[in-house]
Amino acid sequence: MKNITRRKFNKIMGTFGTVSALETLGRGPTLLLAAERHVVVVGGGFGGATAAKYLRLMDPNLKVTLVEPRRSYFTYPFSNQVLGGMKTMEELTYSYKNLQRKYGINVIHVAAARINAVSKTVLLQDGKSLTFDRIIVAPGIDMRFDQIENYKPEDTDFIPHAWKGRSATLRLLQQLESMPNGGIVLICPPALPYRCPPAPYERASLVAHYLSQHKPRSKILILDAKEQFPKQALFSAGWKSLYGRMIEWFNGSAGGLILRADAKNMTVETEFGIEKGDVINLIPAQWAGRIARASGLSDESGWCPVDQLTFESTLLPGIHVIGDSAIAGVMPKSGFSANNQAKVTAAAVIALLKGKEPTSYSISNTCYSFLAPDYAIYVTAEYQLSGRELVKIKGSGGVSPLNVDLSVRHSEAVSAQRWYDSITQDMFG
Amino acid sequence: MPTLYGKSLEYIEQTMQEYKSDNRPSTIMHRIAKGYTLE
Repeated sequence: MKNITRRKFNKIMGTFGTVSALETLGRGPTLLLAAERHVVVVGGGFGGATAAKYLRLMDPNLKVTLVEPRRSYFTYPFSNQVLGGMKTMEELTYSYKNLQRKYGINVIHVAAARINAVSKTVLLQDGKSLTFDRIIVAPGIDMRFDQIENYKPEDTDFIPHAWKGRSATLRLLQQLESMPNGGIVLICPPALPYRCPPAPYERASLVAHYLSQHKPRSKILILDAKEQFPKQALFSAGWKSLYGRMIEWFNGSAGGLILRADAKNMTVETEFGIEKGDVINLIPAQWAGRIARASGLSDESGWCPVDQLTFESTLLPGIHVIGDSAIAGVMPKSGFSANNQAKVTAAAVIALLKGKEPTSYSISNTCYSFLAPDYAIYVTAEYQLSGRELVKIKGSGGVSPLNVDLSVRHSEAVSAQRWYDSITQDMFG
Repeated sequence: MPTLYGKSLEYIEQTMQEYKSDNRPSTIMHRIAKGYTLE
């Protein structure tokens, strides 16, 4: 069998979406730079951890600092499985040790307070500051408390969003465990755009999986701000066959839109009246993480506009924004999107530091959703640049087929677990 | 899905073509391959 030469390898990898910065891999230093270049990465999630690692893989001469307040990372993808009793929180928790030891990244566990694009410094919460040549910001999302009447940050202890962070997921888990058999769970997803569009419906499925085993007389009502949702036909068919009538969905104009919340009385108010829940999982509208908004990187939408070739902010030069916070054309906000955006951004940052033209690219996103432990479905698509805007490649992508044998759903569940194992290895391995 | 490591260029190209034309059983690869041409 013929082995692939480097040139051919680059050629074929170019065909299937990887970037030309691969060429810099494994090549020794050919010239001495006047000074060591320093790239700071803010946020150690799917975007930031990947960006830090790939900067070092693509250019071992680069100094890379990762600023992340948490000592370990809990993956929001797959966290619905904790609610379904299929995974423990520990199984979804990762350490930054490999990034530090294996890849020589300077990991600082402190929050970033503000980025200054003019002085090229980032001020940290402990009063220190870092100087950078370029910075990649991947702060994920923050919840908005200005869209639903009477909904305040302190209410999330009683009506948890469980949309980021370990403690919010734990809170929802405890509530599900202490609710009575025959109780009502309200799941309230927001309008688009928000992190992980299919995730509220995966959550409803896996909560139903838990309830059907332990509290089978209970009901789940999804009160949705939207008129439709991703993989809707697949979810609806799956819910019917797996859980009978346990899950009911109400679209925005049929009483799904939440106007007001009352954490004290455990109710939400819609245009059709007041709904009471034993558990209320209110998932509010979101916007870019605090550091991005505090540094002037977001626009009136609350999200960050970027040049989608390099993910450099169109508002402030030298600052790149990736992942959930960024406006990335039609790409959904997902861990996989952030992971892929991190790689093209790492390559673009290295090119720009060397005074080279950044290369165009194509990238993909796949979102798996579990409806039960051995039952999963997917949505997938490929994206490329049209001008400086990410669009879907015509003919690519789609969702799982409807009306297939259960063995197909089972093999998707196996693929989904493999996806999780490889992406977490890619970030933290 | 088979791994890429150590496979020949011809093998990879042929496999992607088979995914694209639905002549190879797959879950998501046929949907991904349809977004790409030969170059």
